[in-house]
Amino acid sequence: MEQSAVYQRFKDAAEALGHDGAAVQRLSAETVRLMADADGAEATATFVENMKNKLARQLRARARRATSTWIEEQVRQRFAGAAVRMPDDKIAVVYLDGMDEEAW
Amino acid sequence: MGYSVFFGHSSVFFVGGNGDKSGRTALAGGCTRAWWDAQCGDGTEAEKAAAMGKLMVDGGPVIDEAGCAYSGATNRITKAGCFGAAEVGMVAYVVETPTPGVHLATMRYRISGVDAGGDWIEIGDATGLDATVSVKVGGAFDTLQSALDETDASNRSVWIYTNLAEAPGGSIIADVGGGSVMRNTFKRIEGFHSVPGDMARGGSRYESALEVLQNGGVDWTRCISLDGGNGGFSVLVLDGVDNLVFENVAVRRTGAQHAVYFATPCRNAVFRNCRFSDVQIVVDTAAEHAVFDGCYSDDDIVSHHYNLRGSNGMLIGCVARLAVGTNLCNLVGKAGAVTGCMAVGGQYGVRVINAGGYATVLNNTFFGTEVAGVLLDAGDGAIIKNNVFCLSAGAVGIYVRNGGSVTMSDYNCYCAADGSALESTGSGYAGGEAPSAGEHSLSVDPEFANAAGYDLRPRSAAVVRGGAPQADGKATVMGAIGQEYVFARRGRTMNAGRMAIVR
Repeated sequence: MEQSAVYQRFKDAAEALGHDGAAVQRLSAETVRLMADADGAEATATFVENMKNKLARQLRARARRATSTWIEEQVRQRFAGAAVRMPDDKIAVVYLDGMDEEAW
Repeated sequence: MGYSVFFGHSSVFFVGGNGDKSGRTALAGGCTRAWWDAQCGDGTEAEKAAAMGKLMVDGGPVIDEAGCAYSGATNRITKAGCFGAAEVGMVAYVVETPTPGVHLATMRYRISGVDAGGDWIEIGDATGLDATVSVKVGGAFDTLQSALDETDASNRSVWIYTNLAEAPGGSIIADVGGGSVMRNTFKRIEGFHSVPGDMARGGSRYESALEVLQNGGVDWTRCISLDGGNGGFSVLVLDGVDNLVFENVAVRRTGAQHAVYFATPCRNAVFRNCRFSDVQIVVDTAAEHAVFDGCYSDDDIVSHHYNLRGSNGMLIGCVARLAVGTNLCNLVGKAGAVTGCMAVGGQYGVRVINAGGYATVLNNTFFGTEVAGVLLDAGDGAIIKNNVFCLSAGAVGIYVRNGGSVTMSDYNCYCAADGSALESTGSGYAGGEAPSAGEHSLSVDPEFANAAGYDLRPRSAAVVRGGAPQADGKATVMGAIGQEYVFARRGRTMNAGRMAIVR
């Protein structure tokens, strides 16, 4: 999927339109096909659904990263070594003393 | 719009297929799991070959027709005399022509009815208007990537059987259509040679991980090779998908990259009877509950084999030949288990690292390990039972280097590979105590059947009868190999005698 030209066109179009994960999830199959400039032979309903899920996941992850980075900047003004992780869309976990790098 | 087969039915698809595989396509159909199981009631290879023969010709669809008439009123696709090979339960890829998706959505539909005369098929889950369509029934996918992209196991499980050895130009990325953790659905990718199951345990092409070790290398005809060609990419990438199972595949030649790379911490990824060779590292992941079952990893792997940083990472019955300075498994900051494994050579067998690191190490055989069988590097806890530590002279069975507790340690056998005594446990942590070896542990030579040939069946009666007792109080066997293989002839004699007494 990641390497698919159809997916790349869809991704570019959705990003140009400023969609977030929720908006992508709401798109109709027909809209997705239009955005991806895909004919039906290369974009089955399953493929389209998979594309939506993947892009929505990517956009949500990107939003989480941006959010956790912003929170990290705020917290580090007080705790210089702090780290922030967002395991899901709603919860930010703040490690005031940072996180150990995984040792080998 | 209607429903694709993935919505309501477990399904089966192929990559490669039968014959010379020349007809394989990115637009393959398949069948429902129910259809496949009905065809293969006894599970014989002949049944499976016949079922494949119904689904495909040289990997191509068994039906490939253009200019068919779809009726929205009856959900029938009609073209006189063209659908004789179709059966209820097969999967048809249907696309409207000349412009797809106007009156009927392009998707893989379950065939719900067929005409005895072969004039039509019915796709009962479709919702559409009259249209002209092209139809492909059955067939095999052209690549594993196509099969991963075009299937969806989020509602019902999907089996993808592949007999296509691939040398992809880039990573095979599983990033869509995985199984559902809550619904217990899985996407299973299973390698086979001629028919599904023939590379699995009990199949004609099965090769156990231990046989690979004993034979001196992987037999590429007994697994499906996914060859990175030293192209500098991980062959398998898992990204945002859960409940994926890979069986009987060999991931090899990834240069300085991982064999399997988790772009995100996916859950419930299982690798069963897989082989890993000529890669930087098998896996280094925070994926949750990553399970490696009966896998073999080779000593041409540059780094430690399994670096598991997620919850409940697990090695079960794996076999590894380890290069100097490498570890079988690192459990980093989370709990995991290593059970029934055999590790030959290497630096450490299992290394438990960082706060939150817990290990359950049961019934393994470590042979020729250079430094320590189990190493605690500030890991929190470890249970170590029923293992054979037959390590290099001068090594230590269980060693606490940077702190950590061995919660339970007993019924282990400690011996140097050269027959000399082995230090069972030790600690280098300032002020720390060395773990107890346990009152039932042994310092004896396990008397392997043929250590040079990696036939690591213990013959020492003390080891064979010295393992931790089962629930009925009877002793088990220490190490990764059970007793029945060692005293097979004697066992048969004794059983016959007991039968006589019972009579």
